[in-house]
Amino acid sequence: MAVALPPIRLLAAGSLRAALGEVAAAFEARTGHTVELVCGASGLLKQRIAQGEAADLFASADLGNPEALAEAGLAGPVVLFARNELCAFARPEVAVSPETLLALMLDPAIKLGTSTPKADPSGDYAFQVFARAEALQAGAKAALEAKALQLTGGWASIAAPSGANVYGHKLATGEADLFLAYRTNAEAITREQPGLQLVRLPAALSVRADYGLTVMAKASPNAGRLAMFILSRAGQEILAKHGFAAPTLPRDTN
Amino acid sequence: MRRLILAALFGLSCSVARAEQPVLLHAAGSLRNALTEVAQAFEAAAKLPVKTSFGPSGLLRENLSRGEAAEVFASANMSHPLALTQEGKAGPVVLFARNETCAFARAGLEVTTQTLLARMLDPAVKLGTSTPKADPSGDYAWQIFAKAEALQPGARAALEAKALQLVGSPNSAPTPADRNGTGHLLATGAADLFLGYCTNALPIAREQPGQRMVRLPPALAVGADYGMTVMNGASINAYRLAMFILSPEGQRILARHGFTAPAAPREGS
Repeated sequence: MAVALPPIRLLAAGSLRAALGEVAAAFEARTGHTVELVCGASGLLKQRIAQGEAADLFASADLGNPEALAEAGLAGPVVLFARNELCAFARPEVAVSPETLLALMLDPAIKLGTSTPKADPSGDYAFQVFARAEALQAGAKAALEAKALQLTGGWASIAAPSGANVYGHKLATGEADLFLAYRTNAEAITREQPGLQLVRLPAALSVRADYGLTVMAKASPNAGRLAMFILSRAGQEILAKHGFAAPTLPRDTN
Repeated sequence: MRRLILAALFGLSCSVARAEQPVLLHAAGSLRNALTEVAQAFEAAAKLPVKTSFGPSGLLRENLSRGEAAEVFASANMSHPLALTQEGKAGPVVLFARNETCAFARAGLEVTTQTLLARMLDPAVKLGTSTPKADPSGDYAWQIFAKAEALQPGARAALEAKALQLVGSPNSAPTPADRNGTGHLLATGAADLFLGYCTNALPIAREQPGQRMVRLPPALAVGADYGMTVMNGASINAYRLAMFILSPEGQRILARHGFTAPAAPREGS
């Protein structure tokens, strides 16, 4: 009688939920191994792992969190496996373009939502946008940091109804008029909340996100195989379909 | 005292166990310099020994297919590791480096990107390549010949007929281990012009002053995607080496040796 292997525990950034869910299903179909996908804010996941929570792989929305685990001897080398970028999502009645975005972010009448810095890289990236805004307009950084509503990604953040995109939900309920979040939210937001707008950041404000993957030091070879699958053509094609830039996607001729 | 002896014995047995099991890395000859350095960096970082063996990817693949002990296989193309995956002998294949094909000219040969095809076809010019099938570098040369046909009818057959397959097969005459093979063949007059990887440029510039690298015109350019796989049954340490090759540190070393490193983070991040 075959003994069922324990599932491979993959802890992943919330922004990877849909993409890695699909990658995990493809891996399960090919190998017969089961994958348990646990999603959360990357900074919080790192803390949980450091405090002893069981994990075989960690897929983070940045390189710094998994690198901290590697330096602590808890994880192996960190590999950049996907890229994302920050953009702005706006309520339907907000008139906004890349050119007017900064003025609108600063407008006291506009509720500006971000995720929570340190706990969630998405919040860190939003604050990097604020720092870049300072070069365009003196005083912008302090003003934006003071007005930003940290609505997601923290220990105490209120979750969206199950299955709903949290940023689309915060905009739809009016908790925010404008939200700085990953471009990869575009598909879910467009589907769930028709009318919400996506605005690309102007080049001077743009911030890109490098996502890092690591295999935990005590993981089994099957966890290593899942890491390679995420980096293989099959895994990278799924990530690309969900709006990520997929660095190890081979040319079409291969 | 007894505790001390036990501790000493325990320490000894641990170090012996580690020293006995190096991670096995089979890799394309064009990766020799770069992956030797990556393996050394891995040994220093992970405190795990690596045993490398380099050769033409097609021949390595045959050996692995026949059951030679192996853990990580880094090939100069995607198709050789994919074949092992399809045979059920290896896991997923990951693109870890890109290379381009270039021409290298002996000292004194007049050739530019614009005149390259004419010189390749010139009966007075000895055109060297690697061996197709055994070595992806030879396959890439043949792809260049096929592209040349679109520029000049008849070029393909003429080039295939005249190409001297000087390296990459089990029967090829060995080149000195301490020198770049392409540079050596041009220096000894075995070839006037050689189609090989652009990553040869660094060692050739160092070892063979006077020889030149010539970029292919866009119509003839052929790029190489390098694929890596971990063999079934490999240890977790083999996956750790594979991840290290893909990590920022491994990718930086590959980039320094002239490869395009797809998983290298952006500057400043």
